[in-house]
Amino acid sequence: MLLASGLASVGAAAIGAVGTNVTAWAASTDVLSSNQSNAGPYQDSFNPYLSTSAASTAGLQSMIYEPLLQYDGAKPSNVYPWLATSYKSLNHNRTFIFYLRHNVQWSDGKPFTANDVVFTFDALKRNPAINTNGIQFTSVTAVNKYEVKFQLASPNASELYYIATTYIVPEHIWQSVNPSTYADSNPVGTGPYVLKSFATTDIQLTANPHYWGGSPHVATLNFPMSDSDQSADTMMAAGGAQWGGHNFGDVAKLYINGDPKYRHYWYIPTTSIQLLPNLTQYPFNNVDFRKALSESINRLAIQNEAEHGYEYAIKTPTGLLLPNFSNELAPQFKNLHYIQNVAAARALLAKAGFTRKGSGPLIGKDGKAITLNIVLPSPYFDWFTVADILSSQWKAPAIKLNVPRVSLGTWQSDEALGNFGLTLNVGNSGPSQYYIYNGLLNNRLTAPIGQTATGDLERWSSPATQRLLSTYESGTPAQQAAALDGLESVVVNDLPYIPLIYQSGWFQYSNKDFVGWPTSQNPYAIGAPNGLNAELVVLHLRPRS
Amino acid sequence: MLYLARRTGFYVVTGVIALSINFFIPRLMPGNPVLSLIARFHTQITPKTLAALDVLFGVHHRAGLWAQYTQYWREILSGNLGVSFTYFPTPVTHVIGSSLPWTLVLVGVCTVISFVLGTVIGCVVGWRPGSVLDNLLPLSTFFSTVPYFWLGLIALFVFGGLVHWFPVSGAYNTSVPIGWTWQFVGSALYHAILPGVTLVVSTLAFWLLRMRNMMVTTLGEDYVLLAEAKGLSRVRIMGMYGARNAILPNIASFAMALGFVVTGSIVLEVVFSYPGIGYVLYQAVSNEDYPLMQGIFLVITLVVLLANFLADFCYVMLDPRAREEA
Repeated sequence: MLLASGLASVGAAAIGAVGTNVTAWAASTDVLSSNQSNAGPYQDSFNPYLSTSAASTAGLQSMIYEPLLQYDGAKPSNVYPWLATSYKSLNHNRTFIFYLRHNVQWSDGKPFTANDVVFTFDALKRNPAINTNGIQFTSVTAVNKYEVKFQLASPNASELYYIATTYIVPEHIWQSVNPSTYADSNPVGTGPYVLKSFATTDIQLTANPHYWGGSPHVATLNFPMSDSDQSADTMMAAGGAQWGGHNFGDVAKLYINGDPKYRHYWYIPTTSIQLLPNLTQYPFNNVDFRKALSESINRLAIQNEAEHGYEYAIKTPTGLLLPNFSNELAPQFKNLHYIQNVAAARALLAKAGFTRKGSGPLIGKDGKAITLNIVLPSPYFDWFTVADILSSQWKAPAIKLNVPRVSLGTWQSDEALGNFGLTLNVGNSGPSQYYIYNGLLNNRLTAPIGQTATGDLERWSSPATQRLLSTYESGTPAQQAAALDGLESVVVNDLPYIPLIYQSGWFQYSNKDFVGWPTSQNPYAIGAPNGLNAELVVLHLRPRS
Repeated sequence: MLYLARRTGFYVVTGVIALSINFFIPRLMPGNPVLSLIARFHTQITPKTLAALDVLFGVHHRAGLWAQYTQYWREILSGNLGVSFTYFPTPVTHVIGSSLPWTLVLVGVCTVISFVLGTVIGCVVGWRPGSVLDNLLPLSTFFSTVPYFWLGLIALFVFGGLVHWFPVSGAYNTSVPIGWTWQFVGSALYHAILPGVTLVVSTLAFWLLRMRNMMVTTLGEDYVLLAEAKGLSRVRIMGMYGARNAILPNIASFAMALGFVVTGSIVLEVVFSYPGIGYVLYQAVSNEDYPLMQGIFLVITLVVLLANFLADFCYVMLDPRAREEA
């Protein structure tokens, strides 16, 4: 089986190299086809809260269901009013009020009101199975037909994002069903598209005549099935879809070269991937040792050798997601960059009392050779290349690295229980670096070794950090910015975790039929067809005339 | 009649055992559906999402094995196969129902074509061993011993990628609405040609070789000599004396092959991105989707048993010795 799909990739590569369009996929110019790898045969379920529904696997939830606000994933300081035209945060971020757009209709013609919003959030609260962002609030009430008020138990500025990006469903349809098992085969939403046709191999959407924003310029959206990265490669290479969002590997060779005039890709970081040291263990509890580890890493080599050059090395020691959050970078760190410096690493180790005899291994204070373990899950094979590179780079300071291979389940419980020396970790995502920091540094999410932690897996514990985090949750925008600067200093100076590379949002497109795609010059949205910004992208497209 | 009754009893016992194995084997796999879902979405899952998924799939609240087993039999007997995890909240029957027809038509038709073609050619080749037609043997054996995925990929590369005669994936042109229209059926046939032809080419030798060899053996029998001595026509000897006896082992294999049509051809469906049951089974296994796996195994078990039963029945019809035994 594995062999077969491996060879299928060779086949796809060959077809990609041959290039040109396969006429069987006669892409007509008013249809935009979007491709999701690993979607597999669809089943007609459009429940936006279930990651297993066709709506989610095809990445089309946001074409049908809409949130209160939209955040530009590429430049999160851009917040677009959507079903809410404005909002207020009161009472030290303990109360949120959303003012809803007037004259919005559901695709069946019924009016959209505050009752729908209240119903949606009450339903999430009653059904933990679909509350995938774990949104918590004391009460949600409709102040009037177009005003909704959320009351939170404690100051929680970051909850606003999760509330505002939740898809709103119509009360008149969902009130009589169980939202966590509802298939929703005939979805009714406020979005620009409605279901046109469903087949296990293909879903088509057509313009919603009731859409509040007017008719979209793309008449039909098409979501052809592809059941693996290899068949997605083939479909994109042959021109069967103009909008893709999977990891091509060598995208230039497999995709761009088939039609270099029109084909493009734009990968932008979505979150960071970091090395987590277990701070309760020697030698990771020594800050100079952690700094020595970081100093001896060449992150560019990881980018190029482990990730085909398409998951970018983190350059800033603040670990900030750049360029996305460049407005959050503290001025004193603007010109600070990671540079591999083995001499500095050796000096740090000597200062911390680590010794070495001749070309022997590094010896700790206890007189034993330093041997580190990095626990990684076997399905994430690119991470093993990362570990190999780390292992060879740490040979300079004579640190030995073992790479135990465990199953995904074991890895997850090892991470949560603190049963690791080193491991790799993918950060949270959100509209600010705060969301990444909070998941990595907030001591309220952690637990003693042997108990399940939901965040701060490396077990960082610092009252100063906790004060900065709670200032952000209750503060004004100016106070929040100052708190973020403080958190950046913590990461730079104390290195509770070691930033490595960014995770990329995969996005390939052809502007042969449609123009107006997001680019680094015009980053109005993140381009990934499965992302939260998919609706924004489609609404920006125009047929090439 | 006693013979058939005995066989029926045998199949019922076999069925119960097979279905019990279907229940236990998937549960020996490590991991659980939530972990598989996480692997599917490659890391981008927060602890809060994890908690929600645990509740959704009831991972930590599953009943004991015996309770699950009795529940399993209750579900089978009531025809309710539960809800798929991979395609939650879609019922398993729905998932199977939407993928099985594609496989049945493509693999089923190809199996029949391959059997009929192989048997007829084998019969003719076996009638005159050593003739020019014998050259078909090494050629067809070559195609059957080449690994199927390689053959499929080469065909895909040459006819789909280089000369663009055929589409490279899918079961029909997605811009054609589904229905019993000429346009749709034509597009489905067009998409089936490449996987179909490669499947027939790679399985042909199996039937051809067996039929030819049995034919050669049968034609050496005394009753064939007697028939020739009686001056019967050549067609009659080849059909009624040679082929009728030579085909018996092939009938049994054909029944088995028909039974296995429902398993689809996973490699074929992956290489050609064909939306059949083989691919769905692969998905179910890789996502630890117990209800879906059980549902597909149930269908496979029942169809294989049924096919064997029919083969027994055909034997009784074709071979008087089987009747005598009873």
